[in-house]
Amino acid sequence: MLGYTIRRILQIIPVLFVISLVVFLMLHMIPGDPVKNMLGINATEEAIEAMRAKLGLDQPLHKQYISFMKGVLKGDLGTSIHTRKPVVQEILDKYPYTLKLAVGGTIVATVFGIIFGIIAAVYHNKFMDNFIMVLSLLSVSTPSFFLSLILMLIFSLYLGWLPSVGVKSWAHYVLPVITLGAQSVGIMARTTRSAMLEVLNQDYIRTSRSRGVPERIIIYSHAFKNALIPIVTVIGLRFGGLLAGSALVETVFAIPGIGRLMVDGVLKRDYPVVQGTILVISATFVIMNLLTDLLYAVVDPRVKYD
Amino acid sequence: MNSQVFKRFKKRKSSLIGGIIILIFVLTALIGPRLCKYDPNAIDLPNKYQNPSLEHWLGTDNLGRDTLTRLVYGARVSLMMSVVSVCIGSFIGVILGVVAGYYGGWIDAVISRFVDLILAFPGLLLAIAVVAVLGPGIPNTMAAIAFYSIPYVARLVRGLVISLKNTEFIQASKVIGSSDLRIIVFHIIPNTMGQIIINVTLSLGTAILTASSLSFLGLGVQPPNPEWGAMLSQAREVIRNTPIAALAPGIAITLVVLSFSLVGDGLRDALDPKLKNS
Repeated sequence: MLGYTIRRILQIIPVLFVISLVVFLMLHMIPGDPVKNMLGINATEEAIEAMRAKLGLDQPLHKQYISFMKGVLKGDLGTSIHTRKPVVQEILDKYPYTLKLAVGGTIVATVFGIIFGIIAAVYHNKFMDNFIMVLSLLSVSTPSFFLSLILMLIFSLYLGWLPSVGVKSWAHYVLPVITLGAQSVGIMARTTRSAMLEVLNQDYIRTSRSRGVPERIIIYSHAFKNALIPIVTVIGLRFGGLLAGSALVETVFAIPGIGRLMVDGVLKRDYPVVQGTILVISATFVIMNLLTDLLYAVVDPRVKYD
Repeated sequence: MNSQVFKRFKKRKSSLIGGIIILIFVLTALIGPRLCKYDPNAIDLPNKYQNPSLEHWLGTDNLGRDTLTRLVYGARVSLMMSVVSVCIGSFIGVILGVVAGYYGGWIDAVISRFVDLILAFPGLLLAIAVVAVLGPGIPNTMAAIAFYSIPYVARLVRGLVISLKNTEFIQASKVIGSSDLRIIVFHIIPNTMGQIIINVTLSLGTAILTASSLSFLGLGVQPPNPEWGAMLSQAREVIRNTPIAALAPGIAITLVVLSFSLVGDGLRDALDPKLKNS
């Protein structure tokens, strides 16, 4: 297991390196002069030159990348042009909100998605299966920002059961977490259903049934454990999707998370913030994929011998 | 689509309904604007935040603009953006996938690593990153969505080409001296077309979701252009008093995305019955 873990960790180093290179090059791919774009049309030539020197854009490209990477490794992602605060500080302030949302959304998606998926597989081609599949298709097709507004309209504005915006208490997270998780519930339910159906059609399940093993034990002990690999894959992938998608939910519920920080950075042309947030979200996504890979070995011991 | 495929497609009622809904939206986008009596961008402040009435069937927005008119014009913008961007992304993806799968070796390694790299950025983040570089607006939103669809198509087509290139009919074609270009254009691409069509249909829904998400965040289509995501973003300020202004574009997005999924599923069953229930 240790060898497998080390091998997987070593494999993500080049991925992280390339991601850092792409994020670094972003600033250089902007058409025209990025510094002029940042400072606006009224900026003086001196201000433009000063900003260029401050961002290190007057250096050769390879030197710029080396200094960018040195900064990244030391935890320095530059300074926000808008707030004048270090980007790392901005991210550290806002990341916990997004993490809470993404973790909460993943829990909602996993718990409800697996339950619905198992029910659909057990009642295959019956009313319950069709009903759950229609619901899951609807959840995948509904934009999270639209679902946010509907939930806010019903539970905050009409019924007054839950707060609509802000992050003062746990109650403020209920609607955003449900919204963020809802779209993944559909994906998780579909994955669980098809993985379960594949396993439930196998010979060893038929043999267990013919031996009189109770259906509950067949479903939870025999079938579900063997259907876990695709389910774990989707959980890992969805976590990254939820991190990126949190920008929408954060916008509706006024949550000061990293997604909103990134979007504000794009709107205000605060490129150090944009670079920093994209780097952190992508790195988290890659690390989540690594953890998913490691989890494979736990749910299926055959994986680590591959 | 030959008659047998259409017959199989028709058997799946939900897909047929999805197809009809898409047809209605396409017709709305094409001829709807001619039937609207209001200008989608005409500001009429004395009539702002109107609830549905005979004059304004879906009410008016924060600037007094007719919501139904904007919804109809928005259909044109949303559908056009998704179709154009997915077609461009799929075209580039098919070329990359065919070249990688057919030639293999270092070309495959380079293209596959590029695809892996793009897929290392989660969902919407990639589209936001492209908009961060290019700036907001309709053409740049389309570029972001096209870029976003390339890796999925390239990976799909590469896999299909690898399994096809060792089949007997391709080998036979090589033996009789057909050029690589001829084999790719006349034998390989037609045999991957079914899967590509399914992928394009399913991607159209995702493209509408991505475009409306970008516009909702203020990074996509810019005011005063009518686009469903942007309309929803403006309407959220007045959701308590005029919920219809938010509900109308939200339902439109959900219906179209749902319909594309249903049609995609139906096409998958019709074009490749082996994949049914997968």
